[in-house]
Amino acid sequence: MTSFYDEIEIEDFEYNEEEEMFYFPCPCGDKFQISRQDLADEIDVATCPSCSLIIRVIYDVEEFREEGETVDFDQEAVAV
Amino acid sequence: MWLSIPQKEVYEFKEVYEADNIVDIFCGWNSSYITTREMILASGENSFGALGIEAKKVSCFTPIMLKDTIKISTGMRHTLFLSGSGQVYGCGTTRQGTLSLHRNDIVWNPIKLFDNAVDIACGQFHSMILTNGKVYGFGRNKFGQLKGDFQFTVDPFEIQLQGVPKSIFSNWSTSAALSNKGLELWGRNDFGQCAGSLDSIIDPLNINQMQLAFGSEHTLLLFKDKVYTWGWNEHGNCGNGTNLNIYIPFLLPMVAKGVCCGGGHSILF
Repeated sequence: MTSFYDEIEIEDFEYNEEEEMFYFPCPCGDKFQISRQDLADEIDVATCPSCSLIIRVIYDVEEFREEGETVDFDQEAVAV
Repeated sequence: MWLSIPQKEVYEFKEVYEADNIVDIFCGWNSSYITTREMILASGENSFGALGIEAKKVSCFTPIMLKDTIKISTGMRHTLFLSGSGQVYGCGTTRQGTLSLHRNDIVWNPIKLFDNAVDIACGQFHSMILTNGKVYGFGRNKFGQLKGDFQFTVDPFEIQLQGVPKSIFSNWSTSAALSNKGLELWGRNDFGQCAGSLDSIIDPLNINQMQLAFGSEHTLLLFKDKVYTWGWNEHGNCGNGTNLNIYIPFLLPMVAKGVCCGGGHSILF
């Protein structure tokens, strides 16, 4: 069974817009990290490059889906 | 006098401030403090206001006008300041009750939170104060670091202890108090942070001869000249020659006069 060091809400992460990466401090001194793309792909495990520790990200995947990926129910209805 | 500070990484010790009125120095997760009788000088990362200065970027030691500060305890994104007259000031994020304030924002300039305190300790997302022989905690309690039956508390929660506490400490999510009954540890324990039983090591009559250093998830205890270590040890930070977590305090094979901990490293001298 995977053991998470902690579960942290996405709003507690710091976002680097250039890298499109979310960061949160790890107790070793490095930072847990996860990309915006990972979150859009429903990957919710942030890892630390210096450690075995991992954390689970609490977030709403709908807020991270790429534009165009979202199903537009209104348009589908018109097409029918 | 002020000395210039380079804007990039420094790989050797540099003189940063020169004065004859320096009282003490404190380090946080990513911040440094110099205290003088008249003020505090702070430098470091400040995205969440934990430094105590109203600016997102702080690139040189900047004054905080708090007098007679005897202790600074830093959480991950909040900080408490204790004055010699027992006043507690706080700054940083108020999320999850870390500053015992019913609001969800950032306190940039330190504001007074309590009087009559004799010690303070901050964990990752929780805080404790020692006042009138009692320990009160507020903030996150996910791992039982406040001994409460809640996820977090904004209002100070009295933590019941076996003895009369003299001083308080904290890892990120494990809390501790040194009392007339010895050292009590509670909270997160999955890496051995609570040390199992300390009865064979600690003689409560001799707690004045004890020095403690808390890393993010590991601890060093100096008793007379013996050093015991326990907790998270993935980086060899407990110094016992392995990288396996230590669940029962380990007596290091050397003597020391002092112990210090960073997040994931330790120093003996």
